[in-house]
Amino acid sequence: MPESATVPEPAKVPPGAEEAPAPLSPWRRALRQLVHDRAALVSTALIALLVIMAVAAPLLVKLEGQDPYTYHIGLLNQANGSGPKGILGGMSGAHWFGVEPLTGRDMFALVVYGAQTSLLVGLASTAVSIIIGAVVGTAAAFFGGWLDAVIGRTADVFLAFPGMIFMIALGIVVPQAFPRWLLLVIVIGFFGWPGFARIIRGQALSLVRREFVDAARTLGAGPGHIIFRELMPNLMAPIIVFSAISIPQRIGTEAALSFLGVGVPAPTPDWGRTISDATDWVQTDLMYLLFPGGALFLAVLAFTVLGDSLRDALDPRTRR
Amino acid sequence: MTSEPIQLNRRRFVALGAAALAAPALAACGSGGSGSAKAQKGGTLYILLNSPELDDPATSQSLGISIIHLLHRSLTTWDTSGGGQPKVIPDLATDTGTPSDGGKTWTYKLKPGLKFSNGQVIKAADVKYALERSFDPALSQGLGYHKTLLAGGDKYKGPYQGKQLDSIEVQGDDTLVFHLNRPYGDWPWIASMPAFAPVPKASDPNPHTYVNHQVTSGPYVLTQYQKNKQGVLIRNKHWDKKTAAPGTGKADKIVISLNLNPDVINQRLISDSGNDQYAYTNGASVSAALLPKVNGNPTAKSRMVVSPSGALAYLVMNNRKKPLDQLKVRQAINYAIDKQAYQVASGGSVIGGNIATTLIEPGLNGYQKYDPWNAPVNGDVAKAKALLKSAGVSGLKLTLIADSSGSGVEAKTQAIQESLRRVGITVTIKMMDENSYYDTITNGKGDYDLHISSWLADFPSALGAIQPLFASDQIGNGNFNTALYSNPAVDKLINAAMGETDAAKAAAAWTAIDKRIQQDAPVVPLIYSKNAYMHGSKVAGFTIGQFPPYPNTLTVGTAG
Repeated sequence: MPESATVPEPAKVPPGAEEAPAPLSPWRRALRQLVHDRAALVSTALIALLVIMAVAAPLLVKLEGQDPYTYHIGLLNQANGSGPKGILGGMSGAHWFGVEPLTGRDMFALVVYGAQTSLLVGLASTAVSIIIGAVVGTAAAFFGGWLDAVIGRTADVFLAFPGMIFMIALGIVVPQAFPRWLLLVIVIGFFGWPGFARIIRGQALSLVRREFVDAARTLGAGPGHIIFRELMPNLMAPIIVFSAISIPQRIGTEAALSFLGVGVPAPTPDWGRTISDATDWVQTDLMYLLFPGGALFLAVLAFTVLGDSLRDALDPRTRR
Repeated sequence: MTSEPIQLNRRRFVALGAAALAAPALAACGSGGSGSAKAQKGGTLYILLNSPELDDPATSQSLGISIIHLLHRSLTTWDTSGGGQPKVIPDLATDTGTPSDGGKTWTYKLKPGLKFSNGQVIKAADVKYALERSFDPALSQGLGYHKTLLAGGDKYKGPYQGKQLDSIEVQGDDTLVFHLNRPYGDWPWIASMPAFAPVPKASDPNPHTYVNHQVTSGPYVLTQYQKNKQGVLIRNKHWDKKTAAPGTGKADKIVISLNLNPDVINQRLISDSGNDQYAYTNGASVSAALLPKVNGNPTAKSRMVVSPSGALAYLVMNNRKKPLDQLKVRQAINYAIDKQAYQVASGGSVIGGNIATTLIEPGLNGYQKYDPWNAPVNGDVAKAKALLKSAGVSGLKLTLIADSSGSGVEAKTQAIQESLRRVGITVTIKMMDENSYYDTITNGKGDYDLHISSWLADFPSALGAIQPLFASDQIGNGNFNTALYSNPAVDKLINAAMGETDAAKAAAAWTAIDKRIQQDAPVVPLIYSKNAYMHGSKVAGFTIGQFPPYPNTLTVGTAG
């Protein structure tokens, strides 16, 4: 880590804080705290599992011997509305999570491949928001004046804007030829920047007047150097915390848009769309809803818990 | 048809077999039937509908057995009591029509002593006026067969500016003579349509509000009506049972609930509690997801009536767009489609429908079972690939447009998408809102590759299944030749068959046309969609025959 303070020091040393002979770097300290946080470990493991599931989806599905596209009509009960034959949504050795009503597609494949869409959109849109938010927020803090005012008001407008409605409208207007996942990443990412920008501006404002920034300025560093080399590294902690907290929101937003029919189009597997289809079947084939719904629930829960733990570990005010 | 396009019922042309949205149809008796206990006289019936409003007779697209005929009688009506094909029988008229001039002129005489609900005597002039008002642009949405057949109808704009249509000739108080612009054998069926129900001119100052204070000729009058909410029908004391079709007008009162969610309707009918015991629907078909619930409940199961057949669901290819303009490519798609996957996506063989291979649906005069492809129900991938190869087409990408409000539209469109993926054709599904979807498919510009449609003939003649969809004068202008199919030889055959007044000869002609059209493979017949309707335990006379796939609302009654 360059320069002195990486994380703003606590206002006061909390009473009872151990007097360490050799102070650990704040990152180390955070890591040590995380390792001792059971919730953090469990959620990290879950996230790792989801990521492996998404990345290795083709392999996993091959292992099962299925794919997410082929219809298995023979496994459906045509006389009874074309739901899966057998109990628990048609679960079997060949179809681990059963099959989808009306199509006979493999549910395991749909859930595993669905993780790709959710995680891709969740993570990439967060990255888009961070990049925009970090640059805009730091610039506002560093330059201040009219730029700060303009950015502040723009952020207000964006926060007041009915983003979901705009996203739905955009999903309908944008030509089909434009890849939907990319559109989702851009749109969800773009609407997420004001939150980041505000937090980062606040943090950066407190840093701009610190000695190490003054020192750099005295030595003749330009705004680019100060923003990217002096301020940014010290903003990493809030950025990480805020990202972790906002990823689950974005996964939820992606699912919601797909649920409403303006997300990733068929046949690309998608949790939101499958959940939407499954709601009709709640009374007669609950498993259809449980697998994609459960996957979405676990993904959102894991990221939320990890976000909380990260905040506990990195935010000095909550340090135990 | 001649130069003018026939206007057809848009709601009948239900995308993706959402036949549930079709204008509620009235009675049919026969093969599919439960609640077969004899319907009694008296009591209150409840009809639960998803449609939001009741129609003016001029704007209605309903079949001859529909709710609108509880209020309005036409010159003829449908007799569905046989269970097979409905017969056309006289209603206000003394017979089903006397043709002359080779089927170009049709004469009707009204029964004596008929009265409107306001006590006024029904005269031939009232039927003439009713038909004239259907030409007004404000009332243009109704079934329009008569508008293109009556001589001079192309230039006539309705009676509200004081003009009359001379091709409807009134002789005395009780005789009507229709002068058509061409011979037309099916005119007795046309005379059963809602626009042929009399409207007294003095009671109709404004075409937009007549629906709220309709003067009726049928067994009931509308006492309360609120759009999106309900309509209450009570007995018309001037209706004379002796002049009416047998079995009609049983209940004393009928309450129609409007704008209900289809699932709510069926949940209520499954529960069968309170007044819902006296309720039924002819608009909300039981969904695939709800079927296990119905089947798991023996009493509910016995109260579900499934039509033996119904509207033809078919995949439309844009015959003018490259490379779908090549016969081999269209043939390849005919071989590639997995009809069974579509059937399953529609709910399966029991409530979804039967695999279709013809353009004319069963129950229509002229239906003859044949299969031009002889492919397995799940398609012949090898043959499709070979045809595509010999057409020199590879890596084909097609866009399928769909009405996002259609029932089960996701599963149905994906069944087509997956079928074509197997032969290397990538299909992009584009969901559109209902209005822009219908505009896109009926404006004649052909801005699509594929779409899925469902079509039910407006009367039990093969004419209604073929001519609106495949005659070249039905392209664009809101008409439904959405394959943009145009073959002069077929047009000639259609024209000849339409003039045929001998029913048997007409049927043979339509069968031959069906086969001739499929040689050009303009569409892929998918399934004959079924309707599965529920009724309460105290509803009687609720049966559905081969055609139409709806119960006859005129003869449904209470079981006491």
